[in-house]
Amino acid sequence: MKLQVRDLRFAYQSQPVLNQIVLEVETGDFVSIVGPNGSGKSTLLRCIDNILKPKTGTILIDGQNIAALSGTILAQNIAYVPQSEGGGFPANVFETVLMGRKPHVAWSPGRNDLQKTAAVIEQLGLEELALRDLSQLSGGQRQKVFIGRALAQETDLLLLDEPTANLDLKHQLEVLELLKKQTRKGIAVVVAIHDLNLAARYSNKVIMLREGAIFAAGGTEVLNQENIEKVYEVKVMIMKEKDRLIVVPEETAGEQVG
Amino acid sequence: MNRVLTKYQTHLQKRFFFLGITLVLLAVFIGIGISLGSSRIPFRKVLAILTVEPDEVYARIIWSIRIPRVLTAVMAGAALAVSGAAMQSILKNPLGSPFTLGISQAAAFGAAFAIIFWGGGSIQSSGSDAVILNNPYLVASSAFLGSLIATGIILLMAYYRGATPETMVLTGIVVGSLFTAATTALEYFADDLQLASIVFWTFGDLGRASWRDFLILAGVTIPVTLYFTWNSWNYNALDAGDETAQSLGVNLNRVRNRGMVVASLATALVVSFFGIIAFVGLAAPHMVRRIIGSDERFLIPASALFGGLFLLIADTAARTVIAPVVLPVGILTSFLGGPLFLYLLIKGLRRR
Repeated sequence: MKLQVRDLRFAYQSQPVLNQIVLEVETGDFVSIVGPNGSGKSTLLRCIDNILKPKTGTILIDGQNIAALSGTILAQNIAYVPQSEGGGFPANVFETVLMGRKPHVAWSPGRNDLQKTAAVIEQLGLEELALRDLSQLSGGQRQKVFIGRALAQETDLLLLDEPTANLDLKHQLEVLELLKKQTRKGIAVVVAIHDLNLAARYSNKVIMLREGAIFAAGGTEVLNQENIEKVYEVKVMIMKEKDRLIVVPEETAGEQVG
Repeated sequence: MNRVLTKYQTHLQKRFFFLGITLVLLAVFIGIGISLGSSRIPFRKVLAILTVEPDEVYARIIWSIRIPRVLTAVMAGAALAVSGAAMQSILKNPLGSPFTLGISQAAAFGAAFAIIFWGGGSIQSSGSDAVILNNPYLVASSAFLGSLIATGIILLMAYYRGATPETMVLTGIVVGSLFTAATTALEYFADDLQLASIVFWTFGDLGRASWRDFLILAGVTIPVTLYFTWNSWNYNALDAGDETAQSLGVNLNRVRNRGMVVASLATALVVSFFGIIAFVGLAAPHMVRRIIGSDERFLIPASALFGGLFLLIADTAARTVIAPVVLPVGILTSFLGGPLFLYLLIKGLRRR
């Protein structure tokens, strides 16, 4: 699997949101997109999944332009877990995960789809909750179910918009460990994420966005004092502990705050 | 054998069971509906006539009055309920129904227009049935046209502003108020006879049902139900959220627009033939939802069956409650549906 984004530009009305985005994601990558609120993280993910149509630029998955692919074919290649959406009527866990089989099924799931769904539910350890309504789950459990739906889609690329938002510590780690495990199976994962420590710990590539443009990209080394201060307008202290990068926020960089 | 899968399949069996029970009840109530009425036909006789033995008097009542009426009630109820279920999913709004969208009001305006300007409704007195529209098909066509205009406005708004639930529902409210105002204006200038016809038309009465009406209605309701059932997984995806649906490959606008057109046409047809039958489109899907959940693959066909059953029971009651006077079924559905719906509200709509 190879995702290539070339010179992507996107604007809401005439307000530019993304500018000259270039990036590549390959099999097994865990890419964190970081940046302050409004820097274009979610917009970028939506463009990659063709939910938003970019103004210029091309997005290729395995060399094919996603704009030319049908919705179903695209859904067989890319799965996307949006930030929690206010849905309509509630479904139970099994049905929600089963929904991930939609791109592979014409109108009603067959035995094979049911088995795959059951396997995903077991893999996530949600057996006991299989028939519960989503509305009765905790935020962490629900997020796992949504990831389960994406896994049932059996794509090589997973996009997740702030998968750890609103989760407690344990669930944050569980969710990211789960995703990391997928990368070892050869799936590429791209997350938009706020927590720089988690980004540093789980990803092998980091993309820092600032006002819709890539400010810095590379390995976790881009999460350094200088970059963070410029992008977030916050003074930080960076510590190394057992090969682990730890970002400690100190104070807002006062002179730059408007 | 996988444990989760077994659990889910047991769960599914409950839903099939519900579908089965509804089907059985439907058959039973069709029998009861044929048997009951201003002249009561013993149940045994009904069965006999339906199978072999032709009995002059009863046979005529059964074949030309009871059966078309009973079957029409089932079809009309099914059309209203299945359209309501689809609209609720498409609009992500538990209040989705022909009324929320102004379709019924527009149909009422169309009928009033035909009665006043095209002379569709000079009325005659004939015993128990006080008011007869002398040209029902003209009135129905005009009502249908009215509801098409409302549907057109809603779809135009969807085209320009995107088919979001908010746009659709707000547009529906505006459309409904405008057509209500227009109808009121017509009523103000109408003479007594016309006014009586307009009011009578809005009652919602299956007494107008003929074999021809039934065939037209069945010709629409059955394909519509199949269409919505075929699309039910798309509606499940919509229920999961717009972005999720899109990321699963669902073409949002296409699914919404087509669904709205089909649902509007089906309800428009029912309303234009039989007037305003309240609450079936709104309440029947919610009752089903409470029993078997919101999986559209079951909700949609079950709503059709349950809606048919609901309207059939209401109509049978309307014919017999204060016999020999036959009430318009619209009054009954409101009396039955209103309190039931309140009960549902108090128990809490199963909404995230």
